[in-house]
This record gives sequence, structure tokens and C-alpha cells, in this order.
Amino acid sequence: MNYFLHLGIYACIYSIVAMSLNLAVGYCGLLTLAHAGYFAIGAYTYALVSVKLGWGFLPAVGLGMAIASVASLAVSMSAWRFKGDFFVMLSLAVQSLLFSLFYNWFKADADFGTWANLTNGPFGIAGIPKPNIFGLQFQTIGSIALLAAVLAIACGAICWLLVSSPWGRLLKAMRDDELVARGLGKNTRFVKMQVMAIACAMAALAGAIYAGYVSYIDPSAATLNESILFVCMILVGGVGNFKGPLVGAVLLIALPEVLRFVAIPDAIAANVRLGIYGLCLVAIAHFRQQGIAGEYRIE
Amino acid sequence: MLQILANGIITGGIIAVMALAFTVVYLPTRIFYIALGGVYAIVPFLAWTGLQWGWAWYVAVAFALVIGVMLSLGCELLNHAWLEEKNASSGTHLVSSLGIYIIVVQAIAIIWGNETKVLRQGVDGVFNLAGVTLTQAQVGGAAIALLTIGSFYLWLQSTKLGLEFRALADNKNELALRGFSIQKLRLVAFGIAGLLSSIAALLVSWDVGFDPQGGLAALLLAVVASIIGGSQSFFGAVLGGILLGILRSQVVWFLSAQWSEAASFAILALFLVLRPQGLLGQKLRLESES
Amino acid sequence: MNNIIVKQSTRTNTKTPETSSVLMRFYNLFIQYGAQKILDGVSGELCEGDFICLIGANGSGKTSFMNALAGYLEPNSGGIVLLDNADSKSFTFPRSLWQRLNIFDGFTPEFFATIGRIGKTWQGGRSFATLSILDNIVVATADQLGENPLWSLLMPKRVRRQELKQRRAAIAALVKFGLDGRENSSADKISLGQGMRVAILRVLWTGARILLLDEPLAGLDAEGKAVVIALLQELKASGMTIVIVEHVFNLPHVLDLATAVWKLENGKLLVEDAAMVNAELRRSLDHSDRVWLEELAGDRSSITDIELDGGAVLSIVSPDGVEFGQPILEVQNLGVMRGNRQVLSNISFTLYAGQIAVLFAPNGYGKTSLLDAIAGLLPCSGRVLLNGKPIHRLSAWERVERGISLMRARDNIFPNLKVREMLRLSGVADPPDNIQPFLEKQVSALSGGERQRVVLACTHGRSSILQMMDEPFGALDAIGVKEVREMIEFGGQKVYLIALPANI
Repeated sequence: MNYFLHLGIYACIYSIVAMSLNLAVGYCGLLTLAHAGYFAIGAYTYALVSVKLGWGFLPAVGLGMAIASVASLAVSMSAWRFKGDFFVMLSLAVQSLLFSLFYNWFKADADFGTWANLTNGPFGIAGIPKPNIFGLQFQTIGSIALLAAVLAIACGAICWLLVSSPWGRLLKAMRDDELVARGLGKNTRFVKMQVMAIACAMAALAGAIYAGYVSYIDPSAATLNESILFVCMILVGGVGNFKGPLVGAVLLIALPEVLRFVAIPDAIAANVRLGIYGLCLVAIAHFRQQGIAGEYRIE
Repeated sequence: MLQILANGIITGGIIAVMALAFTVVYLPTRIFYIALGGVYAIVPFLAWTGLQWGWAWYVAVAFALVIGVMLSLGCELLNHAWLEEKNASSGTHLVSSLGIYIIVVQAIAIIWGNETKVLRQGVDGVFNLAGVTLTQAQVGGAAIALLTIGSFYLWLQSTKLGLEFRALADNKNELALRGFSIQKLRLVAFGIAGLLSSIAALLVSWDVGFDPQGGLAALLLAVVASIIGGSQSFFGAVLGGILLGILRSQVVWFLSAQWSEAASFAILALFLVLRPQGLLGQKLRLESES
Repeated sequence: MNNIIVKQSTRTNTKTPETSSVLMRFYNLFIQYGAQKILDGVSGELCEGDFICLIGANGSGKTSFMNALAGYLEPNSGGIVLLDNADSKSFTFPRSLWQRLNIFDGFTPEFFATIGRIGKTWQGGRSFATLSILDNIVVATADQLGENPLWSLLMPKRVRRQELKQRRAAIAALVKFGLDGRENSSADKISLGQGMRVAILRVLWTGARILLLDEPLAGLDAEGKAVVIALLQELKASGMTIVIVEHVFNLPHVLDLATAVWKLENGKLLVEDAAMVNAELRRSLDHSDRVWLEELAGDRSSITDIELDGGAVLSIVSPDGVEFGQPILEVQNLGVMRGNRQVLSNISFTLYAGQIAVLFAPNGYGKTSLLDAIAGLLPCSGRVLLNGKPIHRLSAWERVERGISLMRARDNIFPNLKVREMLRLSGVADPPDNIQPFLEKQVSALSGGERQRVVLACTHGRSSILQMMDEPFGALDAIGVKEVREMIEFGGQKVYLIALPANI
């Protein structure tokens, strides 16, 4: 039972990430490879303020989302000048920068959480307390699963509301023809900023849940491989609608579990998993550009 | 001061070779060749294996270069050419290239493992020229980078194939209307890119070693170089590479090596804001940016 | 159709007692691409109620000029001032760094649309393809509460109320534009004429008071044109300021409405009287290329006119008394798609050796698409046979090997090569005398006429059995035009297929 709850929690976490990327990629056409960095911002913020300052879950998550939103400017400003291919590379640059921050803001002799050593570098931060909302402690795996599910559903509801609102219609119009949209008086650069801020904030939320559940965070959550995993998830699952990201998230969980049954040596299991994702990407590009269940074909 | 400059120019030269490799595919075909990072990553491993099998260094190097080029040609023949047939969008090419890169890197990790390796053993010899200390690897690297870039430029400007290649970058349709096979020229592009990136990879791995993940970082530098140099010309990439190398070595000196990533990004951001068309670029007839 | 304009803007438009006010002023505009000067010190002003026809040869900078006035293209130097009674907002070029960085205030299309109340339409309409017609209109509403994600989440009732009000008004407007019943159609399923009306309504919906229209009549049939022209008349009557670019053959329709004509020539702007330009235009249109064709045919050959689907005419000049053997070019049921739109369909014709075929078709018909498809640059459906053998599965260069040659109208040079190199690629061993002076120059540094000469010279490089030319008379001086006409041999072993714009 616990095993399924464990998978369920991950499914919720990745669903939130998938929905956030759906906004950025499926509605704005911005294929960003920097998302793991924002995931990590949420995780590290929650870790630091809950361990060092004793904050509860909601304020800590709120702070993490706020920081991620502001930091999303790095990606949205890249989107002003560049679309498509070069934007992907710029997001890669942001990714390197963010990873660099988490890995290098470290001094061996200082205690973590101080300005000299904010992230404890490669050693990570351990002992992160489980979520605590106004005194209600979510200690058991069941309660955390419930919390994760509630948050995932809340994110889904917010995404759905946004997409069916006039703002969502504006996103579709921008996706169809940005020049024309600008000619109608729409400040598309500002809208892209909004989209990336929302997407990065959601990724930070997912990161905070992750940190609260696993109780340990280190820079490996912010690597390029993680970003690529996220991107594979939504490209293979599909974007531009609601089914797609969810299919992608489920696939991301299911694949390593399936591999477990195929007796692949542990040392290379991670590589095989990533390799399969690579293969999926190539297959998607050749045969089904909208992903398995999506609606928007990559431009 | 001169030391930092010299270091910078030399690393810049190698970045320039990789930047040229990227541009050689991007300009004529508009394909964002991410899998080039995969070629970059695998070549040192192949050379290493050759050395492990007791081959002489020039045999191992030749072997690695040949396989690198073949891998690059394979990307075009088995992947991009097919997508082109279906009139795929550039995003589709990019995603497929990313997929191939991932497959290649994971294959490297599965075959050879994830740790960093080195191609040469022991301490390198040093030279002392006009007060500047250079390692043997640096001098060799600079010489080969110069030779490579020089030969490419010579080929581009003086040979018939080079002319066709420049024409391909200018106007694919008009070239096709003159009876030249676009298919063949694309293969030439991918082949040259494979060769150039293999050379860059070997030069860097001879100097500092290599691991499976190094390809994308090198490609990122190459793309940044081509943007700041001007992504509309072959030579812009070279100029951008050298400039980037110099700027990075300044940063490494004044801050630390760990911040060189951040520095690259900062330089790129600066250029995008001040001069988005790069050093050698010209404003295009774009309807949009104001 | 009275009172069709629904002003959504909250600004009031108080007219001063004097004659109409100046809405926009531009001075010393200078635009240069590389070595080419597009605009060389263009100055003028736009007053309320003006109806301006912007004319000029292809490549004279009409589009760039319009883009500058709409905020899409930043000129290299000069200035633009937007006036609204007491307020004025001026822009001088080049923009400084801070001005470029500021995303809320500056030389951008969205700013010109909201502050200057300028609206631009494009050729073909360019509706948002994944939105319904109704959404296409409503999305254009200015100051929508729901377009801020925060308010759309926190104030759903108010957003909904505003939205419903807009939708009702939009449906009513669509009825007046003759589009009732189509509100929920997807925008990519409507005809070109309907699309153009949607585009104009959409831009009116933003509250624009200056309309910049880029070839609104392109590709429309006679009925479609009539509807749009009637619409323009209504707009003019209600005091809208309009600047319109139109192709030479559609100009007579709009010149009747014009208050003035702006002519772009050699980078300079000249203001001319509409009536005079109209008269001159009518005169020059009579000396069409059809006359040249008849001269060429003389009395030793016959001209056959074939009507093609979609409103084009293929005029074939055949020498008399010649036995027709095997056809050189057979086109069977050719269709071309551009994105989602079917540009050409059901095109069939056959050409024999010695014939000259001229395709007369209006702008927007798809002449270039047809020639590109036969040459292999565009995918197409149907069959194409050369000398009896099917070539529609071959790549462009293979077709060239078999004897097809195409001289394109646009995008037909290698900008970074030298002229000598371009000729060498084309197989021209001996450059003609009129090109010798600029052999070593870079192609991008040539003037329009010089480029066209080079392009023409390139066609002599390969022998071919099918020579296609897309609008070969553009950007040429009188001597150049004479050269092209001389080049077209008659009664030889070749077949010529030439596309020319026409007023059908």
C-alpha cells in the first residue's frame, strides 16, 4: 500500500510540473530546459526556511513561489528576443546558471543557511521537516499523499480556469500569430512574463512538496538531466490540452517501475531510463509531433 | 595580464572551432544540431579505447575522427533528411536532435561509465614564450585550432564545393534551381561539422580530460559564441569564440572557475540587450523587434 | 450598414472646431538594409479623415514604410509623432538603450495600437487560426479585465459579465458585416473574402481610428472586392483615417475614394493628386502585356485562351502550320497547399514545343506557387510530366537536369556572393557586357535594376526545354524589359511559361 502511495505522491508532484510546463510550452511555445532549476528553488527555499527559521509549509511555499516567479524573468526576458531554437539554448544557459548557484554557494567550514554557505553545495540539506500547516503536522505517508493530491488538483483547477479565461484566449491568439496580436494592442512580452512566472511558481510548489516528502535536497534535483526529463515528459505525453501532461507524468513514474521488472543492473538503470526517453523523443519527432495525447504540435 | 590573454585566446580558439561546427550546419539548413554535443562527447572515448588497445596515438585519433564524422553523417542520413522529406518544422528537428544527443550520451555512460577520464598521463611539458607560460597541450591546441579554421576558410573561399556551400547558406532554392544537389551539400555540412567538433573534443580532452556530460556544455559555449559573433556568417562564429574565450579567462582569473558558467550567460545577456545581431551581423528585414 | 463602428475605447474623440486635426506626423524617416536605402528622408503628415493610397513599384519600400508607421519596424533615423488633440507622443530614431529595454512604453506595435489607435491589417487577413470567428473579434477588445490572470481568477463574475457584453456586441457586428451564423466557425475554414472582413472588424474592435491596410483586395474575386470596397466607403464616410497599399490592378477601385496619393520613389515620398494618378493609371493599364503578346504573335500564329480554376487565364501562342508532336509539359490536376489553405487546385494544361504560354492572374492567385511547384520547390498533388516522363516525384535539382529552368521574381539572388561567383554557379562562362562593370561587387550591394540584369543573365547559363519566368518585368528599366522580350524566342524548340499579373 505504501508503495502505491509513494508512487502517487510522485505522480502528483510530476503532474504539477507537467501542468506548469504545459502553460509555457503548449500555450506559449517556449520550450524551456531550465525548469528543474525552478523546481529546486522551491525545494531549497522550503528546506532552508523550515529548517533554519522554523516556518510552516504554506509560508515557506509562498516564499519559494515568489522567488521562483522573480527568477523566471531570466527565462522570459530571453523569450523577448529569441524564439524556438535559440530560446532553448538560452534556457539551457539559465539552467547552467541555476545549477551553478546551488552547487557553488558553498563554503566547507560555514554552517549551511548562512550567507556564506546558503545551499551547502554538493552535500545538500538533510533533515527537512515534513509539511506542517498551521500546526497540523503531515507526518504519515498517507497524509502527505492527501496533501499532494489536494495541491495537484488545486493546480489543475487553476490552470483550467486560466486557460478558459480571456487570458487563455489571448495565449492561444499569441501562439497563432504573435505579430498580429501585438498589432491589436496586446503586450505579448508582458504576457510571456506572466506565463513564465506562473509556470516557475508552480514548479517551485512541486519542488517544495518533494523536499517535504523526501526530507533531503541536493543539487542533483537541479541538473540538466532533470530538466530534460521534465521536457521529455511533456513532449511525449503531449501539450496544449489537459490529458497530455497527465499522460506524460504517469509515464515518467511508470517507466522506472517497469524497468525494475526487467532486471537491468542498478548501475546503468538511470542511463537506460534516460536513453529510452531519448528514443521516445526521436520517435515523437518523426511520427507524432503532438505527443501521445496532446494537441499542440511543436513549431 | 598577457598570460590571461594568451590563455583566453587559446581556449577561445577551441571554442571557435566548435562554434564553426555548429554554424556550418545551422546556416545552410537552419537545423539546431544539438546531437553535435553527442559527437563531441563520444570522440574522446573512442580515442581512449584505441589507446587502451595499444594503438599508436595517430591511429587512435584517426579512428576517433572517422567514427565521429560517420556519426554526424548518420544523424543527417537517418534522421534529419527524413524529417526534411516530411517538411518538418525546426522545432521538430530540434527535439529529434535532443533525443539523439540523449541516446548517445547514455550509450557512452553505459559502455564506458560515468567518470572523467584523461587521454594523456603525467604532467605536461611547458614552454615559456615572452613571459607567458604555456603547456604543450595549449600550444598544440592553438596550432591545430588555427590550422583547422584556416583550412576551412580556405576551402570555403577557394574551392568549387566551398562556393556551393556558401551559396547553400545564402539561398537554398536558387541553388537547387541551378542543378546542384541540396541533399549532397547537406551531407557535406554534417560531415564537416562532425569533423570540426571531433577535433575540438580531442583538443579539449587532451588538455583537461573528458566525461560523458561534457558535450552539451561545449555546445552551449559554441552557440553563445555564434550568437555574439553574429549567427549570420561563418566567420562570426570564429570571432565570437575567440572573444568568449578571452572574456571567460578574465572571469576565471578575477573571480573563480566556478563562475565561468554565470559569466558566459552574463556576456550573452549583455549582447542580446546591446547588439542582438552579434558583432558581425546586420539587422535583418524583420517585421518584429523594435 | 450604418454605424458599423463600435468604439470600444474609453477615450473620447472631441473634434476641434477647425478643419480636421493632424493625427500623425513623420519626418526624415530613413531606413537602410545593408547597402540598400529603402527610405531616404521621408516626411509628411496624416490628418483625420484622410484616405491615402500608398503606391510605388515593388520593392520601393511600401511595406517597410507601413511597418514603421505601425510600430513594427524601427527606422534608422528620423522621427514619428502621434497626436491626440492635446497629447502628443514623439519617437526619435534610433532609440536609446533605455527606451529599448522598457517594455511598457516605447516604439512597439502594441503601443501604437493602444496610444496611437492605429490598426494594421495584412494581406490575406491573418485571422487566429485556432480561435473561432467570434473569439477572433472579442480577443481584440482593449482593456479586458480577464486578460490579467490575477483578475480572471479573483474576479470571475466581473470578468464574465464583461465577456458576455462583448460577445453580444460582437455577434451583432458580425451580422452587420454579413457574417451572421458563422460566429463559431473556426477561423481557418472561412473564405478569403470573409477572412478579410473579419480582419477589418477585428482591428476596428480595438478602437482604432487610423487603419493601415496592406493589400486588402489581394486574392479576392470580384464579389469579394465589391464587399470590401463598400466597407471602405462606409469607413471613410464615418470619418476613419485610412492608408491603403494596393497592387496596381486594384488601385482604380480605391483611387476613387482617395483624398491623396503618396508615391514612394527612390526612397522619397511625393504627394500627388488622386484624380490625376487615377487617370494616368487607367491610361497605362490599357497598354498591358496582352498587347505585347499580340504583337509577338503577329499574323503567323494563333492565340488560345484557356481559363484555369480560380480566375486565371492561360494565353498560349502557337506558331501556325507546325505539327504538334509529343507535349513538352503536361500538368494534370495540380494542387498546391500552403499551410492549411488550398492555394491552387485542379490545374491542368499541356504545352508543346515552340509555344509561349502566359499565365495572366491577379495578385494572390498563386502564380508563384504554380511555377514553384512545377519546378519542384513546393510539394504538390497531381501529376507533372516533362517530355512524357513524370517528374513530380523528383527533387528540384533533378528536374533542372532534365531541362526545367525557372527565373523567380523574389528571393532570387545570393546576397553574400560576388556577381562573378553567382554567374559561375549558373554556368555562365561569358558575362554579358552590361554586367562587366560590377562583376566583383557583392550581389547584395547592387541596385534593383542591376540585380534583375544579373538574374536575367543567369538564365543563359543552362540550356533548357522549359523556361519559366515569374513576373519578369518587375524592377527593370525600359532597356531591361526590351531585353527580356527579345530573349523570349518564338518558334524554337523551347516552351516558355510566363506568369504576369493581370486584372481579371
